[in-house]
Amino acid sequence: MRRELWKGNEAIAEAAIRAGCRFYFGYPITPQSEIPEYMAAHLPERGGVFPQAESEISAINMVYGAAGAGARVMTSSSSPGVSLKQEGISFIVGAELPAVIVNVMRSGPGLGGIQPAQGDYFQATRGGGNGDYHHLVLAPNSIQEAVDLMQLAFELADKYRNPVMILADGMIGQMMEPVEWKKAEITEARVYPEWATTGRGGRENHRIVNSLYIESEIMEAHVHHLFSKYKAMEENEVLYEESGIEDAEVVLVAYGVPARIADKAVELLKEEGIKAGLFRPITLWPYPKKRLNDIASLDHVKNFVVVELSMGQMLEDVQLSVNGKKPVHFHGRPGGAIPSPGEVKDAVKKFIGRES
Amino acid sequence: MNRITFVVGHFGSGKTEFAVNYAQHLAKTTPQVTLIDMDIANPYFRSYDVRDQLEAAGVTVINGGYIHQADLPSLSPEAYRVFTDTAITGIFDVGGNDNGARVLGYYSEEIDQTHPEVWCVINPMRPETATVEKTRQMIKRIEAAARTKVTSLILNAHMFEHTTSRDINEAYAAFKIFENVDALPLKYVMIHSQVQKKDIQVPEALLFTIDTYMQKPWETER
Repeated sequence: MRRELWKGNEAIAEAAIRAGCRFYFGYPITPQSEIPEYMAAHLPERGGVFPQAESEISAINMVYGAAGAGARVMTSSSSPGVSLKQEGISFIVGAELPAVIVNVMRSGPGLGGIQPAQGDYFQATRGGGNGDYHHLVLAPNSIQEAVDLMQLAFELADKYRNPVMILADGMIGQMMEPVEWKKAEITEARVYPEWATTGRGGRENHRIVNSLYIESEIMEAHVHHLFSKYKAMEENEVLYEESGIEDAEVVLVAYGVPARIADKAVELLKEEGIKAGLFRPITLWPYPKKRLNDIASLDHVKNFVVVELSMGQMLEDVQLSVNGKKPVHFHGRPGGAIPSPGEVKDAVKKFIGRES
Repeated sequence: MNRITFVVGHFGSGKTEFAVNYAQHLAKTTPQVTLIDMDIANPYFRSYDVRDQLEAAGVTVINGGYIHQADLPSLSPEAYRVFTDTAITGIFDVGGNDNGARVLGYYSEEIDQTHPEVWCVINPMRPETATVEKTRQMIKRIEAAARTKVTSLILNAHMFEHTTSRDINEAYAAFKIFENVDALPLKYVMIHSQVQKKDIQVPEALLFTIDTYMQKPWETER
C-alpha cells in the first residue's frame, strides 16, 4: 500500500479510529493536543463521539462509563494529565474493563516542560493508582510502530478486560514519518460483550460494573483473579526487538526514541571496532525479563548500558532482569534534553573503559 | 516582490524547511533578511532551533513568542519591527493549519497597510492535503482564520528518503490546476537536494532546491 506522511499524534488518532474506537474522551495538553484535535475533526465523520471533557479526571471517568457499556474507547494525555487519570485507571482495572490510554510524555515533575521525556516509566509500569494492579504498557519507537500497536492495544484490552497504555515520548507525538496502513480498518459495528451494561433487556439480573468489594475474602479472591490475568500477560504478551546481540560485548537497552538514538550509537561504536548490540523492550509491562537475563548469561556480553530520557527508571527493570550477572550502567538526560548518538557513544566507551 | 512574506500551511507541510531555506537564499542577495519564528502551535522542530546556522548565513532570527519551547499564544513586540522598518525583508514562519494562521489576524491592520505575500506550503503526501479538493478546504480554513488571502502556493511533495522525482512530477501535474481554476499561482516547487533532478518535469524557474534542517535526534552524530 502507498505510504503517507503522518505526524505521530494524528497517526495515533487515525489508528485508533481504524481499530474501531468510536468513543474518545480527552482534554488538550501539549505535546499530544493533535490527538483531540484530530478526533474532534474526524471521529464524528466516522460515526464516533468526542466530547471535550472539562478535565482529565472527567475524561478518564467518561472512559470508565463507556467501557462499562461495552464500547471500544480511548483517552490520551501527557504526563501531568495522565497523573490526574490514575485514580480512574485503578478503577477501570478493578472493574475489569477494556480501555486504551495514551501517554505522550513531557518532562516533570509538576507541570515540567513540553519537550520529550520518559519520566513516567515508574508510574506506567508500577501503577500510579492505588491497589495491587498492573496494566500492559506498549512503547513504540516509530510512527509506524505506534500505528501498528494501536490495534493490538485494543485487542489486548478486550482479551484481558484490562486497560492498556501506549507510552510514547513527545518526539513520537510530534515528529513526522511515513506510514503504511497494514491492517484492515474495522468498520463493522461492535458486538457488545456479554458483561456490558447494555440494559436489562428482559434478562433476570442486571449487569453490574464495580470495583468495590467490602468483604475481605471476596476482595482477596478478586485480586487473585486479576493476578491470574497478569500471569497470562507475562507468559503470552512480552514483545521486544534486538539486534547485534550475537557477538556483542556491550548491550545498549532503550525504548522509544532513545532506542533510535542508541541504534545510531551502536552503528558509531561498530565503526570504531566495538562490538555493540541493542535490546529494545516493546512491552514495558510485562517486561522482557527472561530474554534479558538470558542475554546477561552470554559469555561475550560484558556490560549493559541503559539509555533513557530520565534519571534512570527502566534501569531498575534491567537491573532486576540482569540480576547481578553483569554490570549495568546508565546514561540519561531528563527535563526535555535529548542525547545525541555521539554523546551516547562516548558514554558507552567510558563505561567499558575504551576511551580514546 | 513584497518585502514581507508569511509562510502558512498544514502542519507538517514543510513550512519551516521552506522558510529556513528561503531566508538563507534571500540573504545571499538581500540585506537585512529577518526570519520570525511565529509558530504559536508547535513547540517542536522550530526555525528558532537552527538560529545559529541562520545567523551564520546572515539571517536575523526573531523568536515570535516570549519563551522558546513554549506553547503560549503570546507574541513578542519585536516582530513589529518588520512592519515599521522598511529596510527589513521579513519572512514569518507561521504555525500550522487555521490554528497557527490565526496569528495573522492579530496583524490585520499591518497586513492591510503592507500587503505582504502569503504563501501556503502544500505537501500532497500529507493525507489532509492529498487531493486538490482537500487542499482547497485547508486553504479556505487558513484564510478565514488569517483574515487574509493566500497569494501563492509552494508545492512540496516530500516523504523524507522515500521521495522520488515521480512524486514531484505527479504532484506538479495535479496541483498546477490552482493557477487556472483558483487563480493561485505556484510560486515554487520544492525539491530536496538528495532527490535526483534529471527526470523532473517541472519548469526550471519554479524549482527551489532545499537542504533539510529539521533533523531528528538520531539523524546527526553530535
